[in-house]
Amino acid sequence: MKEPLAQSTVAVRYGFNHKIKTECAYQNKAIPVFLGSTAALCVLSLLYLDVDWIKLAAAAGYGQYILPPGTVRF
Amino acid sequence: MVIVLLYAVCSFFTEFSPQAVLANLDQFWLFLSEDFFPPQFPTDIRMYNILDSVAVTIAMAISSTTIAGILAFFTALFASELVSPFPKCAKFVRGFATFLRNIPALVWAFILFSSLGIGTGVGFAALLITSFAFMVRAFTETMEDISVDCLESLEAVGAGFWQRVAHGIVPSCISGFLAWFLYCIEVNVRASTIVGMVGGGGVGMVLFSYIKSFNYHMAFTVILIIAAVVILVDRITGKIRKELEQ
Repeated sequence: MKEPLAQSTVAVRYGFNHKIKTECAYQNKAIPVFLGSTAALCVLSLLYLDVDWIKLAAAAGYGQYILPPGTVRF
Repeated sequence: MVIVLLYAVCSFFTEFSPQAVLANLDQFWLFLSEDFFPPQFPTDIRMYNILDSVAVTIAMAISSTTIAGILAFFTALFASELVSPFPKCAKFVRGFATFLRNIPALVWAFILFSSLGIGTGVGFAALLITSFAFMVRAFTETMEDISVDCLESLEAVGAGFWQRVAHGIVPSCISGFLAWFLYCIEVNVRASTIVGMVGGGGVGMVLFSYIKSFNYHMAFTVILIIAAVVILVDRITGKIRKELEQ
């Protein structure tokens, strides 16, 4: 039998028929601001770098420089 | 006694001689004082090029660390035996991350540079791989430090994997994750300079070009700018870390 979701279990036990509101006891408002600004900075950085992703992904010979053991003899 | 013995053995094998270092100390000082000092103030165009390359270096560090952080978070969920829905596979995920981490960014840059050529894409990819591997390890350790009771209680009331992650792992570990992420940005700003010197673009490439052309006064100016940027980044990340820990 599939286990019920956490909220539905509690709801059945206490006879609730609505979704229980879950809130953090302590919210650090700096964290969402930091995450949002980091994501924005990342996008801006990628635009500034102006990397040719298609060329990068399509570049042939990723593996040809990793030689099998024994190929190079000193 | 053991340390002295080890030093003697290592010096013998590496042919390291402190006398040779001391004997050449005056030459070294002469090189620094005459060739490097004083730093040459760059012309407008050169200054623009240097500042542009510094911006590229910072952009490379921020973008690669951010993308690596997102990838590392999801990978670390499967690398931790405590959290992973497939605990038997956790060792393999960790092993893969350890393999990637043991190869330095400089070596990755060399490998990628050989196949992709010079450019910021190479620096970005090299930093992405090393940051990803480092953060997988750091995030996994952070997850394993949290209380098992929290996860067990969530599991007991029927929470699924993603519910446990959202309501148990993320609230408990987010400050730890962000602290590691900020540390990784600091490391990558320094590393991107070195990666740039082998063809990864940015200020490292500019510095290398000045050194190769024997323009040591300008090279010294670039070194001072790099030092200033690294100190600034360290201070900013330190302040952000304090804000996030509150």
